[in-house]
Amino acid sequence: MGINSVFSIAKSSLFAHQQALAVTSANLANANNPAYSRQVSTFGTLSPDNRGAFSFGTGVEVQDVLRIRNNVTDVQIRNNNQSYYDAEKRSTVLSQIESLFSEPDYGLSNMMAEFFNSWDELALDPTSITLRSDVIQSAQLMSEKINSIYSGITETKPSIQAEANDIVQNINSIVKQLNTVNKQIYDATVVNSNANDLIDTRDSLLEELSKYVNINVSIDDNNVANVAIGGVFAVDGLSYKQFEIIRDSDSIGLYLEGEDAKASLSGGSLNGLIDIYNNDIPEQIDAIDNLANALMENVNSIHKQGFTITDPSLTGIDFFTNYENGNLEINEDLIDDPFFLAISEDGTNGNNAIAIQIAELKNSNLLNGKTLSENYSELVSGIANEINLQYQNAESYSLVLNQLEQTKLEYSGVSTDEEMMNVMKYQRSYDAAAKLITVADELMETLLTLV
Amino acid sequence: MRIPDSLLQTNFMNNLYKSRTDLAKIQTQLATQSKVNKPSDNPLGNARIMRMQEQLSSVYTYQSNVSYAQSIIDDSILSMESMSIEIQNVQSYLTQLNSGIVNDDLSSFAESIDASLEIMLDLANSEFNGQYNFAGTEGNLKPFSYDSANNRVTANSDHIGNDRVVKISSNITQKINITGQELFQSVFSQTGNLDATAGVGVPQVNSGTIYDSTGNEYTLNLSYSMTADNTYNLNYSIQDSDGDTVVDENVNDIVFNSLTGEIESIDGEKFTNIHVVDETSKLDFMIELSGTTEQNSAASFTNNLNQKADIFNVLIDIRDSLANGEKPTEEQVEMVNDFYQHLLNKSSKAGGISNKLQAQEEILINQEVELSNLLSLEKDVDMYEALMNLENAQYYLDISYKISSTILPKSLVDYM
Repeated sequence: MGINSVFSIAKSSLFAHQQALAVTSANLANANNPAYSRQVSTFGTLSPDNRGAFSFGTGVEVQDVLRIRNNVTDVQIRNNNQSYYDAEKRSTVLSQIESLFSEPDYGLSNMMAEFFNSWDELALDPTSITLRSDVIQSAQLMSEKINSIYSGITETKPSIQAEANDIVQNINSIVKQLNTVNKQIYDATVVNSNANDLIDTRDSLLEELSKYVNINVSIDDNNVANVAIGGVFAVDGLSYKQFEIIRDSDSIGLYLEGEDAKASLSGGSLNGLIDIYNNDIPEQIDAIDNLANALMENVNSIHKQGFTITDPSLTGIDFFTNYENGNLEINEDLIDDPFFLAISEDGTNGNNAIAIQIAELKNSNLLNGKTLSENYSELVSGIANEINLQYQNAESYSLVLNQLEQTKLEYSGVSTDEEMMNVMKYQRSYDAAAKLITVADELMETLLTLV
Repeated sequence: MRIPDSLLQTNFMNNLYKSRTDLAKIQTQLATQSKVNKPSDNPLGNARIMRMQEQLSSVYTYQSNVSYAQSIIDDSILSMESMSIEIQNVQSYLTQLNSGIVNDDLSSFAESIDASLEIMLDLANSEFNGQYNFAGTEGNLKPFSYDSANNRVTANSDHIGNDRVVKISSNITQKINITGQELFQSVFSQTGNLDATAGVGVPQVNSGTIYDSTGNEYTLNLSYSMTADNTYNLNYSIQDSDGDTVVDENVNDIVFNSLTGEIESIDGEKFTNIHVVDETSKLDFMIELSGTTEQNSAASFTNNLNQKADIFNVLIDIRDSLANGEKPTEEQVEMVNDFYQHLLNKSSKAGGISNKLQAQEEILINQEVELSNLLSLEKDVDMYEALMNLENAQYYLDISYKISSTILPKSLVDYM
C-alpha cells in the first residue's frame, strides 16, 4: 500500500468515468432512434487490497452496461400491433369498396327507385315514346351502376392479392434479417459479450413483423429468438423459411414456400387482406348477384305476360335478356324500338296494367322476404357498419398502442435532461480523479524532495 | 415517472393528429354541406337517407302522375259540360216540337238536331295530348263514328269500356277516365252466379229487357250450358214485342277461374263484354258479364241496364223521323232526358275523380315537405354548429402548436 496505489485508483476512476461518458454520449446520440433502448453503466469496486485487519479499496470499474427494456411491454405491443393493423387494413380496404357504391347520393338505390318510378310514369301515357325511352334509359343507368359496382369489387381482388404479395416480400426479408441478427446475437452471447444494440434491432424487426401477421416469439437461453408465423415455423438461430401467397380456386392463403404448410392467420394486416378477399368480397358479390337475378326474374315474369303496341302485337318478351358477372343485359329489341315494351295486358295501346304491376315490384318482397331496395340497403349498411366497427377497433387498439408505446418510452427512452445530468456527474468525477492524480503527484514530489 | 424527450414528441404528435382529423372531418362537412358523405359516416342515417330519397322520388312520380291525370279528367269534364249544353239545346227543340206551336217545317228542326248530333259526336271524340278521352284504353283509335252504311253511329273498338288507371300513391290506384262505354253506350250488365254443380249440358237461363234506339222493348234471353269444368257456352237471343227472334248468337268458351270463380276469358280473350249490334232492329248495346261468377250454388242473376240506347242513334232516329215529317215520340224524348241525367251523373263522377286527385295532390305536397324536412335533418349540416366546431377545432390546434413550440425544444442543454 503506497502512493502508487493512489495513482492506480485515480486511473481506474478516470477510465470508468470515461466509459460511462461514452455510454451516455451513445444514449444522447440515439435520443431520436425509436428502436434504441437507453443503456446504463453500473459501477463496481475493484477487488480490495487486504492488509491484516484492514482492507483498502483499489478503485472503480464499469461492471456492466445494462440495456433498459421491459419485455412484457414488447410482447403487449406485438399483440396489439396484430389487432390494430388487422382492423386498420380492413377499414381501409372496405372504405375503397364502399366508395364504389357512391351512396347515398348517386348510388344504385336512387337508380332502382327511378327505374320503378319510370314504369309508374309510363302507366300514365302508355303510348308516349318519351316515357317508354325513359324506362329503357333508367334501366340502362341501373344496369351500368350494377356493372360498375360489380366490376369495381372484383377488380379489388387482384389489387388485394398484389398487396398481399408485397407484404409477403417484406415478411420474407424480415425473416431473413431476423436470422442474421439471431446468429450475431448468438455469437456475441457465447463469448459473453454485450449484444444490446443487436437485440434492439431484433426487437424492432419483431415489432415490424407483428404488423403484418400474428407471430409467436420465444427467446432461448442463448438469447436467440424462435419465431413462428401463424403457427408455422419461420426462423431460429440456425435456419429460416420463406413464405408465399397461394391462390386456391377463389381464395388465397399464406403458405411456406414450396411446402404444403398453411399459416393460420388471426391478426395483422395480411390477415385483414386475406379475410376480405376470401370472405367479404364473395359475400358482397353474392348479394349483388342475388339482387340482380331477383330483379331480372321478377321484371321478366311480368313483362312476358304483356303485349307490345307494335303491329302485330307481340307477347312473351323478356325485358332483361341475361345477367352474368355483373352484366345485366337489356333486351336489344327494346333499346332499338321502345314500342316493344310490353306493358299492355290485352294488346290495346292504352292499357298499362303491366307497367303498374312492374312498378309495384318496388314494394314487393322479392328476395329474402324483403324488397329489393331493403336487400340493397342491407348490403350497403352491412359494409358501412363493418367499416365503422373496424375503424373503431383500430381507434381503440391505437389508443392502447399509444399507451404501450409511452410505457416503453417512459422506460427505455432517452431523456436528454437525465443524460446531461450524468454527463455533468461523470465529468465532475473525472475532474476529481484527475485532481487526485495531481495530489498524488505532489505527494510523490514532496517525498522525492526529501531525498 | 421518467419523461424522455421522445415521449413528449409522440404525445404531441398523437394529439396533433387527433386535432387535425377532427378539423378535416368538419371541413369536409362544410364543403359538402352534408353530414353523410359515405355510408360509414353514419350507417343507420345512410339507410334512412336511402329510404327517404326513394320515397321522395316516388312522391315526385305520383305528383307528376296526379297533375297529368288531373289534366286528362279536367279535359273530359270540359267535353261533358259542352255536351250537356248541347243536350239542353236538343231538349228545348223537343219541347218546342211537342208544345203544339210548331206544326210544319219540321225539316229545320231536323237540321238543328243533326247539327247537335255532329257536335255530340265531335265531343265524344275529343282528344287530349293525342289520346281520345272516351276511348278507354285504346286511346289512339277514334271511339265513335258512323258505320260503313253511314246511317248508324257505333263504337269502333271493343275496349272503350276499359278504365285507364294510374298510381297516385303507393296504395291508391286511381281511375282517371270516364269510359266511352259507361257514358254513351247502353250496357246490360249481368251480376250473380252460375251453378258449378249443375252438370254438363244443363242450361242455366237469364233474361232481361232491352230497348232499341227508338224506345221499343225487346227481351234478351241468355242461356248458359256447361261444356267442361269451369267452361260454358252462351247462347243469347233477342225477341221483339211480337215474339219474333231478331238476334240469335252463340259465344263459346266462357272460362271461370276454378279458385276465385271469376271470369278468366271469353273465347280465349281476356275481354269480358259482348257487343251486340243489329242494324235492322236498331239494337246497339253491350252485354257486360264481368260481375258474373261461378259458384257451388243455384244459379241466380240480377240485371241492370244503364240506359236504354246510345244517344247518337236516338238523335239519328229523331232526326230521321223529323225529316220524314214525324214528331219525336214520348219514348224518344224520355230517352234524351234520361241521357241528360246520365251525363250529369257521369260529370259529377268525373268531378269526384278530379276532387280526389286534387286532395291527393295536397297530400303529396305535404309528404314532399315532410320528407324533405326529415331528409334535411338527417343529412344537411347545421352550418352554425359546424362553423362553431371548426373555430373550436382550429383553436385547439393553434394552442397545441403554440404550447409544443414552447415546450419541445427545452432541455437542460439550454441552460448549460
